[in-house]
Amino acid sequence: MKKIIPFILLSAGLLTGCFKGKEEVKTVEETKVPKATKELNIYTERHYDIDKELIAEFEKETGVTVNVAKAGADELLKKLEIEGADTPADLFITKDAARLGRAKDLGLLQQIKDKEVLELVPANIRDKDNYWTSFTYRARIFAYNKETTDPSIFSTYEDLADPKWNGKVLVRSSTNSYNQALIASMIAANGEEATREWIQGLVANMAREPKGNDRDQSKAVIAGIGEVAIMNSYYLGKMIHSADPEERKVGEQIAIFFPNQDGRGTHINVSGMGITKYSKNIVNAERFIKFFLNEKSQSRFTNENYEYPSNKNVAVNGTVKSWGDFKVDSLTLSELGKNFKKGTIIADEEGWK
Amino acid sequence: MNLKLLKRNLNINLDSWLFISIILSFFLLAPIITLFTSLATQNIETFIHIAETLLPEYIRNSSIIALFTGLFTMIIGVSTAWILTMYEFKFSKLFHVGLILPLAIPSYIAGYVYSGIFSYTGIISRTARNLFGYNLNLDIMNIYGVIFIFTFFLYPYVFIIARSFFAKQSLSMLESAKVLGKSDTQTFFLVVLPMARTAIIGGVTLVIMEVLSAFGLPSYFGVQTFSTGIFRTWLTLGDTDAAINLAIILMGLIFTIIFIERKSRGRKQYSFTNTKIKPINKKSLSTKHSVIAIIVCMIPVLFGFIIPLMQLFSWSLMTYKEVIDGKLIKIIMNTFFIAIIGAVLATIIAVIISNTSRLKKGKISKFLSKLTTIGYSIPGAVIAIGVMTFFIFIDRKILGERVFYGTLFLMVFAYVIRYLAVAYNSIESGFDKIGMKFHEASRSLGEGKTKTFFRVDLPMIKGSVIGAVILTFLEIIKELPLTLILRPFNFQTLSAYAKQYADDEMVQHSAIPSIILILIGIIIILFFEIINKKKEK
Repeated sequence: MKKIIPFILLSAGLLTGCFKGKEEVKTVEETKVPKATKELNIYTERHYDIDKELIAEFEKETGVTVNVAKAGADELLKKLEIEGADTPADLFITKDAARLGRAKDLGLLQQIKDKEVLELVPANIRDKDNYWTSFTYRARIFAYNKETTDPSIFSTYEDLADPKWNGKVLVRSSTNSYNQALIASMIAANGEEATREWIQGLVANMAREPKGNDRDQSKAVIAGIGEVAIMNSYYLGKMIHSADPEERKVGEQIAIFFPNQDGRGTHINVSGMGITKYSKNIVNAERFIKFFLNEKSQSRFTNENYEYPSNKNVAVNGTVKSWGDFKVDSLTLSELGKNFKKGTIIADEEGWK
Repeated sequence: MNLKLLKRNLNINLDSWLFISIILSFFLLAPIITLFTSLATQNIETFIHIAETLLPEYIRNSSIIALFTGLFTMIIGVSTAWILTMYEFKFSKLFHVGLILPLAIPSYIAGYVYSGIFSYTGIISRTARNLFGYNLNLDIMNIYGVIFIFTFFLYPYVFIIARSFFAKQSLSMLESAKVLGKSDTQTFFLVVLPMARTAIIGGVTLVIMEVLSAFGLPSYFGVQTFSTGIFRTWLTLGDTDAAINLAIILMGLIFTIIFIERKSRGRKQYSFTNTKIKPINKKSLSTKHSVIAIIVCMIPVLFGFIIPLMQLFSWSLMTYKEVIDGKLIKIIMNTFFIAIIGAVLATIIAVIISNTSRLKKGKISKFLSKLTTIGYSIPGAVIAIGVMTFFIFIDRKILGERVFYGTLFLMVFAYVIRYLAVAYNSIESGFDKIGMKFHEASRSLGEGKTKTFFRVDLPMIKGSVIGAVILTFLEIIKELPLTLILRPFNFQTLSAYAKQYADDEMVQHSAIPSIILILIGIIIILFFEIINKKKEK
């Protein structure tokens, strides 16, 4: 027995000792020296290669070391919530305005002070109180087979609940954040009851049970399982430029329709970021926001990830441009957060799996 | 007071093994208890919503998946184990290893692979379309697909346990059955199967526990289960209370299963205290029967290993240029490092608690041994958040500065909680097999418990100890939700790396990290087989 106790103590000691990585030691020092340091800690839901490359460039340009922790948006939010004032994170990045809104509502973010950088971004795709800003956005569009379908039959999201679409609509699960945001925007536009009816109709019209991801929906359109798929615009760009020749083929057969153009506009969602409430690195965090929004980075987002750039001075990528200009939903995205939970519950109740 | 005297007084009721076991259990349970105490504000509204709209579906789906996966893994695991125990045929040695290999492939990666194979752009539809102009609409992303994948990637748990049981059965029993005029088939159903029942149920229980707490595969296939429901309620709806309520129901379910398993085991003693077990002389099979045996053994290897690996290789050819970079080596090292520490620690703790409960037949030690399995019944994300909350509390309230939080220690700690049951099962069966005779002999010669443990018990269960380390290691490298939540900045593991690409709908890019993960798994499994061979000799 005597052998075991010291062994356990020793291993516990060793573990904490050697696991206290370099960053850790530095963060402790930071609390003593509250001015700008050479580090920046990011919690991000995005893990595209383009983000990785831009972060590396930011490091090179500024000499700041960026530490990244990646996980799902909800997981990161929960982390921030539990960590409270002890959070090591300076920036929170996610692919969903509703979650940014939630982070703000939970008191996890602080206002961005650099007005100049915020002015690059149109007001409807950033928080009205400056708690977060987007840096890219994507449209939630209709995808259809350009050879078999005449786009004149499409009009609005609301229309997809009409019985004429029976057995023709493809959409993934309502547990997906893109759909949750879409539902939240429907509530903002039409109210709860109308949204409930819309979901009822939509569920009745589904070509199959919701499954797979956005790309799978467009493949199902080409396979003839349904006629219209609700999906994000940028996946189409990714499919057209895919490493898999079969995916490229699907991408080339797909065309895009922007719904609700005669009314409020097509629903969009953003990738955005906010500075955490207890950030100890506000200076670097703001530098980073500025860097992600500068024209060079913005062009790369659109050219390599086929997203729409948030910076209004930057032109969209050629493939993206070919889908045409469209009217963006006038809803201020910071409104999404408050309808989010309600929408999820309604979707459950109406059987949108 | 004299310390020695105190110690001796304590020794009357509480020896140091029990003492340490209690302390360890407390630490392992603390994060889970922390979670349950956060139930202070019982807001029932969301839970009612879930109970009304989703719970029936969660229960239905989870039970169907558990039931059929349990059944199918049993059929595959037992039949292949039996064939390999009794007969010798071409490639039979290869199948001994081959049949375990699916364990190296995480079920969520199998999910990506099979949905890829069956998708519109996948190999089957593509061939039908391009060669025959025929539009096939295959679909695997449903509950049947989930059962299919769990079956072919988890049956090795049953196979391993059944095989080791069959290998140790007494040949004389079989011979008696033969003398009484029973055919091989009759012997199998009338003698062997009833004898092996408890061992088989043990393996199936592991499968069912794994299935019930699995998150990645059902959520990717859009099948709502308890585990996906807990995740969704907790994180997406942001309702901790309702999620904990769900988790409690799930734990209740799992404890019922464990209870049934223990009951079915009853008071049976497995230990072989004599050395008279005659090894089985394997029969050689005729060509015709060999072909049947090969086909039966080949099917699980094909679906559970060869096909997915081929698909992954073909994807990696498309993407290797983009995925392989200098950081890959570091990711491999990280994965290896964290898993080996977690596995060794879990095994040490499992040995301590298991030995305590073996030597001390009281209620406390029985209770302790049950506690060790709790972690396996709780989804990884729930454990991760419990561990986080607990260590933030320790750092903030007790230590006053950040010591533990944000370090890898949390990850290791959480892995130990989550996978202690796996290590414990292996160690317990090791202890079961050696029984108490040798221990008692040593004690009667005047050696203490601890000395006896190191001199007598430990060397005898060495095989089980290494087996425990290996199985736990295999689980940890595949683990996902817990890893994602607890890993510190810049700490990447292979499973997380693969998952990220898949999340971004870049399944082809996840092929390389998946293959490396599987290769590490294979190496570990081969090692396991070598140990097993030695143990049997």
